[in-house]
This record gives sequence, structure tokens and C-alpha cells, in this order.
Amino acid sequence: MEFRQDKPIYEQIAEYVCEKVLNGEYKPEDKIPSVREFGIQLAVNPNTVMRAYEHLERNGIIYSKRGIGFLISPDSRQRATELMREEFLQTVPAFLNRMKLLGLTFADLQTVDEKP
Amino acid sequence: MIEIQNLSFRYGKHQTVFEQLNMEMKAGYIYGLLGENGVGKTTLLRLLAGLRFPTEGSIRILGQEPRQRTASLLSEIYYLPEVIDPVALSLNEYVKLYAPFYPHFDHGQLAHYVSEFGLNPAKKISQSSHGQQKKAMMSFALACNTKLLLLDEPTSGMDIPSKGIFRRLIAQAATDDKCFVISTHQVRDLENLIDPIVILEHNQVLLNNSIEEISRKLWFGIRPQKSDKDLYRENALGGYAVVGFNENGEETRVNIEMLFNAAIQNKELFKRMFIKGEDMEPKRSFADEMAQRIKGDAGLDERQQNHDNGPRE
Amino acid sequence: MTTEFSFPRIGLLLKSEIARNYKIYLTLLLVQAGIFLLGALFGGVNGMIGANSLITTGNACIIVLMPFILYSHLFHTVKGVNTTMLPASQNEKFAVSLFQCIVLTPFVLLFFHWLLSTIGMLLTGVNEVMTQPWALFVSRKLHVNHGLNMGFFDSYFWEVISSQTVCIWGVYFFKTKKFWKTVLTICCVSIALGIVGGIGLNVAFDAYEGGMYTFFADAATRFARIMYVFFNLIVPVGLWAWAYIAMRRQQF
Repeated sequence: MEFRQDKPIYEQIAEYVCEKVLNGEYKPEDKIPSVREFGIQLAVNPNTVMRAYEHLERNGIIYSKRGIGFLISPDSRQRATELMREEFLQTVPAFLNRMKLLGLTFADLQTVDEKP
Repeated sequence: MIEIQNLSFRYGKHQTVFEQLNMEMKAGYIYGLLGENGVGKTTLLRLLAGLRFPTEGSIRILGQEPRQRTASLLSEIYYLPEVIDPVALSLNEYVKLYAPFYPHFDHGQLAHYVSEFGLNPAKKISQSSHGQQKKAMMSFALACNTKLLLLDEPTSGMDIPSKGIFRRLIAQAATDDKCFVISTHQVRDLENLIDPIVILEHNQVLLNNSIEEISRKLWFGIRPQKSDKDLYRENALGGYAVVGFNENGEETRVNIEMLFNAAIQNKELFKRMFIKGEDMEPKRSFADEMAQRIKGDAGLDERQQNHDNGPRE
Repeated sequence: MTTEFSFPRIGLLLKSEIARNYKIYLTLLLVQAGIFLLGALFGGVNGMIGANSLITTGNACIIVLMPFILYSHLFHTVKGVNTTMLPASQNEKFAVSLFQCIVLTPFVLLFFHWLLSTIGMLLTGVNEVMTQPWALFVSRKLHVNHGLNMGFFDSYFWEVISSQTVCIWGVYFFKTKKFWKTVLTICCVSIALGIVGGIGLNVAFDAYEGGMYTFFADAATRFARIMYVFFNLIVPVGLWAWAYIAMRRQQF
């Protein structure tokens, strides 16, 4: 998998899981791949995947069940939205700076069509 | 798994490669060994394999010294050199002759690697292309399931699709009881796999730390302005791509190429930060203190004083 | 198989060595056959008989050089690595190389020699074509005249093994990439030993023949025996031991 330069890989992996939760691919109580399996799929060091899972667990999006592995939490949808909103808002300062640099206002933004 | 104590290695009397090197490598990790040409990456791998003997000091792998070349230790180490010996045997024949020497050899795994790499195991290795040879020996190496796997420039000579397959297979083969040490120039081929990172320089180790530790101490990203505290800087869209101190605990993605350049330009600093593990005080003062040291330290590269670093070769 | 000396593993080593070397053996067979054929072509039956002696001498040289031929790959930067990294103890590897040089090679050549002689004999119906296989080994006057009681086995032991040691010592003594230096040293040492040994033995022999027999017979015989034991037992075993130590010190 191709990763972006601007965020730690483990955060991007967590984001990837959140996306799948939000678009319904992962449903509550679904079992997600083990740390190793996921590492193999993404060609990423298992340590990094472990950090991603820890991050997701801390934020209540997944939980671990002994003998089974990691499962999607029942309230994952809401928590994933919260987490991704937090992350998205962190990108806003840079966006605003760019606007400032280019002399754009919010009015200018409203003229841009939302892509389907 | 690997304990290196006070290792010194010299070719003849005057060519010192390592001087009082101390290092530990543990099972369950994939170590990336980086360094400029001629700095001793291959020599270190050969010292670990028992092909070369330390001039002073000791190496212990699983409690034994590799220089003794005991059968029990050799069966747990596989060294895949950069240049492969193209034997006049097919992979099947090769496996029949040499697999029995490795107690954990797994034929099922071998079949899997062969099919993933798209190899013809009945074809003579000497008659295959360079890339095919490398893949064949790589398949054999992985199937041996040795506790220590030493790979010297494994992706050199591989085409692009094969590199991706190689990455996947390494991720698959790495288990908690194995240690992989991969020396490479092609950092991008192995970018997300190697963790910890080891950076070698002449006579010294500058870094032997996990990505997590590195991202805690260093910051990677783009800043609009230069700063005296930058450890390495390249021009980029949006200002400068920078390696600097992680002053506010923000975690960024470690860019290994930039990390390498930063290490080479700040050798003493890296050694102090990562090898001697100098403790971090409240982040701001640590950063300032280090910046002070960069300016004032006599032992550093002169380029340190010049704040306008262009992109490295 | 984690012990440091196991026969199953030695068997595996030998198998892999032969798989690596069978082409060398086949080449030798072809060379021998070639000499036979040339003899036949140019000299008819007599030519073939003459070729037989040539083969005998050739075989002797080959046996002596075999350690070098079989193990010169140790000079190769890459091939030497594979041999060293193979999971077997150094003692096992050395034992296998000893076996291949001292036992297997002479046996194989003896067999080829017998095979070719038999074929030659069958083709021509001439008995002389087939020489006694142990003429393979050079015998010296010393054996017969000094009552040192050298039969086939002694001759083989004293002559073959001692001659090979210089080669095997040379192979292990030099580090990688010193191929030509090794060849030169082997030649020099062999010649030197041959000369010194020859002189020593000849002095003893001449002393015997020159009529000093009556006064110095015992001394002469003793001296001859000592020289013989020295050059054919102590020196070879010493060189083998040195080769073993050098093997353990080889770096790649």
C-alpha cells in the first residue's frame, strides 16, 4: 500500500480501518485481520500495525478478545467519525494558511463545485 | 539474539572498519542496515555470518561465536550475499541437495515463494536471468526458516513488480522468533518494513533505534521558514522539507532517506541522542541546548555552520 | 542433527560434493580415454600399450593435484561463501575433503584405468594392454632393496597421501583471491620437498651402494628409514594438520 508523507504510517493504517468502518465494509463485531496478516497485506512491519491497532483500541474503534483477535466495536461508527474529524481538523490550519497566502476568502470557496 | 561487544575490525593494520562497536539486535525485528558505500555494511554482515573474524572484541549469536562456525549455529543463520553464485543446478535439484542441512526447512513455504515469484524450479539457475537467480536463492533462503537471516542488498537486480512481492514475502516470513538484518541502499524498496533502523558510519554506529523512538525525538515535515535548529533541510514546495527536533511531541512520518542525510550531517549529535541515549529534558530546552551544541561543537562537519543546505546527492 | 559430528550429515556433505564435482571426474575419464585413443590411432596396439604408461603417470599427477582441483573454488569470493556457510562443522567438512582426496579420487581413477584397459584389451585381444592397476603408483628401488617391505598398500600410503598434502595445504593456507600465488607456492614447495627428499634418500642409497655398506650399513639403513618416515609420514601429517588449522582461519 502507498502511504502519504505527511502522517505517521500507523496513523494512516488506523485511518484506513476507520474508512472501512464508515463506509460499512467493516461492521460491528466483525473480526479484522491479525497484526501479522494485516502487515503482510499492506507490506508493513508488524510493529507499525500493532501501533495502529493500539491507537484504534485506545479510541474505542476496535477491541481485543482473547483467543479470537481484534473485533470492531459496537459503537465504532460514531467513534471512527470522531477520530477522523479530529484528524481532519488538524489539517485545517495548513489549509487556511494556504488560503491566506493566495488571498482567498470563504466566499471564494463557495463557488467551487463539490465533486460527485 | 545478537550481542556485539567492543568489536573492532581492521583490514591489515591501517584500514579500520569498526572501532569498539557495541550493539544489540533482538529477535522479532527486521533491522535495516544503512550506510554509505564502503562503510562496512557487508563487512558487518560477514562478521555476523562468521565469514570474517573480529580483530578485537566479540560477537555472540544465540550464545555462540559465529567464528567457530559450529554446525548448530550455521543451521540457524542464512547469509544471502549481494552477488549470487549461479550454480549449474535447477532449484529443485539445489533444494534436494542442500535443504536437508537446514532443520526448519519448509517445502510448502518454498513452493509458495516460487509461485509468488513466478519461478520455474526446473530450470537451471545458471541459465536464468540475474533477477530470476536472485529470486530463486531468496526463496530458498526464506524457506530455510533460520533464526537469523542476513540479506545484503536483496532488491538489487530485481524488477519493480518483484520488489513488491519481495516486500510481502518478507512481511510474511518475519515471525517473533526470527531476526532479519537487511543492508540496503534502496531505502524506498524496504521503507515500511525495516524497523529498527541502523545507520553505520566509518568506525561508528550513528543510530540503532525503532521508528517509534525516532519519531519521538525527531520531526519530519515541511516548514515555510528555515531555522537554526534544522538538522537537515531540502528545498520543497511550501518552503523546506526539514528534519528537526520534535519539540512539541507531535508524531510525524519518519522519512528514512532524509533521516539518513540528517544523520550523516550531524554525526556526533545522532550518536549522543540515539546511541548514548542522552535523556530529553523539557523539549524546548533540550532542542535549544542541542542547537547550541550544533553551533559550538568543534567536532562537527563544517557544513553545519552553513545554514543553506541543498539537496544531498 | 545438532551434534558436531554426525555420519548422516557427512553423507549429505559427500553427496553434495559429488554433485558439485562429478563433471571434473567425467573430464578426467575423457582425458584418459583420449590418451588411449591417441595411442591406438598413432601406434596401433603398441601405441595403446605405450599409452597405458602415459596414463599411469598421468593418473599419479592427477591424484596429487586433485585436492587443488576439487577445492580451488574456495578461492572464489562467492563460491567459498556457500561452502563455509553450509551447516556442518568444520571437522565434518575437512573429513569429507580428506575422504574425497585420499580415497575417492584414487579409487575413481583406478576404476577408470581398469575400465579403459579392459576395453582396450577386449578390442585388441592383447593382454599387455592391461597393466596391473597398482602400477598406478610409482615404486622406488628403496622398497625392494632396503627391505622396507613396501607392498601395494604401503606404496599407496607413502606415495599418494604424502604427495597430496602439499596441495591441500596450499588450498587452505591461502586466503581468497590468491589463486596464482597458491599455485606457485605449491609448485615450489613440492619441488623443494622432492629435491630435498630425493637428495636425502639418494645420499642414503648411494652410501649403501657405494660400498660403505660394510662400515655404515646400519647407519645408512637407519638414516634411509628416518628420511623415509620423515618425508612420507611426518611432513604429510604435519601439512594436513597445518591445512586443518588454516581452514579454520580462512576468512571470506
